[in-house]
Amino acid sequence: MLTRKLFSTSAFRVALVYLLLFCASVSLLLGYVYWSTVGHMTTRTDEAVVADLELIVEGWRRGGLTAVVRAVNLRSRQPDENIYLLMDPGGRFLAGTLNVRAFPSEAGDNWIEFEHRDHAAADAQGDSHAAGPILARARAITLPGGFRLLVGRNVRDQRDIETLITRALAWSLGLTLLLGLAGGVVMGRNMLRRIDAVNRSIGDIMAGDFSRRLPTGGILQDEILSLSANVNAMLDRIEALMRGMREVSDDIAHDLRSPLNRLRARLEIALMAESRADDPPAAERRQALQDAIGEVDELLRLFDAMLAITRLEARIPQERRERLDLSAIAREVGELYAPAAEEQNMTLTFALPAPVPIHAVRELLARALSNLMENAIRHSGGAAAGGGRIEISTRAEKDTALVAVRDWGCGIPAGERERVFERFVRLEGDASAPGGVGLGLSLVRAVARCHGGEAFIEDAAPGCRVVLRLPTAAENTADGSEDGKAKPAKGEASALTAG
Amino acid sequence: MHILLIEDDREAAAYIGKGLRECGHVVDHADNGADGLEMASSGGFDVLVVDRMLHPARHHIGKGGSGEMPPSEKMRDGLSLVQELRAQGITTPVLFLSALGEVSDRIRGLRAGGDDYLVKPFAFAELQARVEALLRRRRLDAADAGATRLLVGDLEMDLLAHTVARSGRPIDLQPREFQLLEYLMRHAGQVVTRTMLLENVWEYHFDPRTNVIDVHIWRLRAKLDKNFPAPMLHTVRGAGYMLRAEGEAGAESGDSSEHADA
Repeated sequence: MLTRKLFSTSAFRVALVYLLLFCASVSLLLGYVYWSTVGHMTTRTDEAVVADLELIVEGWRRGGLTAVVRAVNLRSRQPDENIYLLMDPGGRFLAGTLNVRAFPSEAGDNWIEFEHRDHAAADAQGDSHAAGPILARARAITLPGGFRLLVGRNVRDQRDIETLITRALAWSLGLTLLLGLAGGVVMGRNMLRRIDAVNRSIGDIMAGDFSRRLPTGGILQDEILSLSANVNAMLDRIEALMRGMREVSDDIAHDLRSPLNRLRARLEIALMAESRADDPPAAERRQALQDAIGEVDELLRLFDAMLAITRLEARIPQERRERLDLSAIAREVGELYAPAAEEQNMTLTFALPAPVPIHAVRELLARALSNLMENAIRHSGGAAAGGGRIEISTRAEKDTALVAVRDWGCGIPAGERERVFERFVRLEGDASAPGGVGLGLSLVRAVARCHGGEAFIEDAAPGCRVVLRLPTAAENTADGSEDGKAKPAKGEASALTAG
Repeated sequence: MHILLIEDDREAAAYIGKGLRECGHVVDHADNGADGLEMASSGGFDVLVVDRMLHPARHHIGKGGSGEMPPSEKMRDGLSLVQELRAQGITTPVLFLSALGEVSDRIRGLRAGGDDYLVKPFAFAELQARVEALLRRRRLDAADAGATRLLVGDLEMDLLAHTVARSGRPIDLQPREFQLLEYLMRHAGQVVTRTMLLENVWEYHFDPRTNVIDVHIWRLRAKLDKNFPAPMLHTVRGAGYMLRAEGEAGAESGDSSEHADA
């Protein structure tokens, strides 16, 4: 169970792969060591033997058999590992170190290897050196006249070293494998334990313990710890968002309940009047119903705005937008509100330079601007000082288009300029202003953002300036006419020729 | 006037039907798309009021009858119903009622062959005004398609020269005021709601909180009725406005809208 689980950890698998790779390279390395020691030794021996043999044969050419016998006898007296044997064509021993009666091999001019126990030499020298049989590696040639010469070397020691080296190499390879495997297991298990701890924490969080966080304690900072830290940060954010959502729903509950409650009370009062014995005047009943409808309309408007904001949370795809002139829209909306502003003794000025091309949804932009105009009218209406003034302006920058509505009203304190974009946020003293539900600026910001832009408030004492920043359209060929777009045919209903 | 109401919400249908009957119309009701299509196909209606989202008919299957009808056929929502009607060559004006109020929904509705689009919930006065407008349009469509001059009483508009005169005295209007007056003249004798004006003159489909439209109307009225004994531009309480020549009672059912205060 654990082994299967262990094998399924990526840490263990990675360790295994590394182990295989490591073993391959260690084998290569050891192979090289083997080749450069053992192989080299053999080559050196063979070269020496061949050189020796050639020297003796050279003697044959100059001095015949006697020279060879002398040379072999001279060499045989040297106390080294060299082996010599000279035999006549009849197979009798003439000279050499080997105490043999028969030539070791039938082979011709070839490398031969044979074992030989030299009792005489062993007795004579009496040391451990000759205790074992000689392992001879030799080369034999047939001299003219049928004489046979063998030159070789005792490679017993060399072979021992070879065996030693080979064994050492094999052991180190085996050990490497074993240690690597053990390391992989340890690493895998360690990883598994830590991942298990993370998984357990996540399980707890999923089970509802949302305050729980992943373990981040550790001496060394590593990927898992930083992953845990990131997950924890994400959880913090989610928790904050959830709290925000709860706040919003609390707000919604409050902001929908209050008008619903008023509505209910109104209707109840109307009904109470109805059930009274004295017939209430029709006008009173009518008034109550009319107020109720007004209340419902207010609720619907609130509901609409909330719905619109929610819908606008995603970006609007390019194909739903059209090419527009921001200045034209600003002028249109401004002119829609101009009479209403003048009605309240405010002056509305335009600062709309050349066409500012954007890709946007006309209706949404107009709605956002209309919200800003209504805000501006509402807020500077109370400010007696400025006499009420509103400016609507557009500006094109590098790749952004800006449209701003400025009022000369009471302004917004710096600390509140970000907060007013939140839903249902109304500033002190604003709640009493007619028609303020605290969604206007939220909608404005939602419109800006769904076009890939932003909405913010700048100080413009006295008063303030609400700015919508939108990305400009690519090319600069303004086709947004003064009216924004052509009227559809449906608007042209019927002409009347009354007499 | 004969109106066919295709609406699967019976309560809403009853309310709308009652209201329209009180205004003097004959109202037939179909509570599912298949019946609605069958009735509308027979013709003989002056206006169709169609709910955009109809639930599939429970008992009745349309004219095909076989089991393997495409889903749209079974669903028979308001959009495909109107498309089918238009394909059959039936041009009865259609007013869509819908809970889907986004501009794109509206465009889809009009593309499917609708003539007007009203978002639920609505004030009855709004529905009434729009139905009247469609009825009127049906009657006069053919006559005035190419008119270049509009006349209402002593008020005269030249669409080519962009001039307006009352009793021969020229009235100077801003471009938007001109458009506003044109719309009012084309619907003279009918109630025109603020929403209708905003939609048709400004092409906005949102609901401004302030009385922007009223202020525009007041200005227009000041130019139009100043120095004339008889006002032409009337406020219809609880509904909207009406442009009417002096002494005229407006369209036959226009009077009843004076009482529609809801």
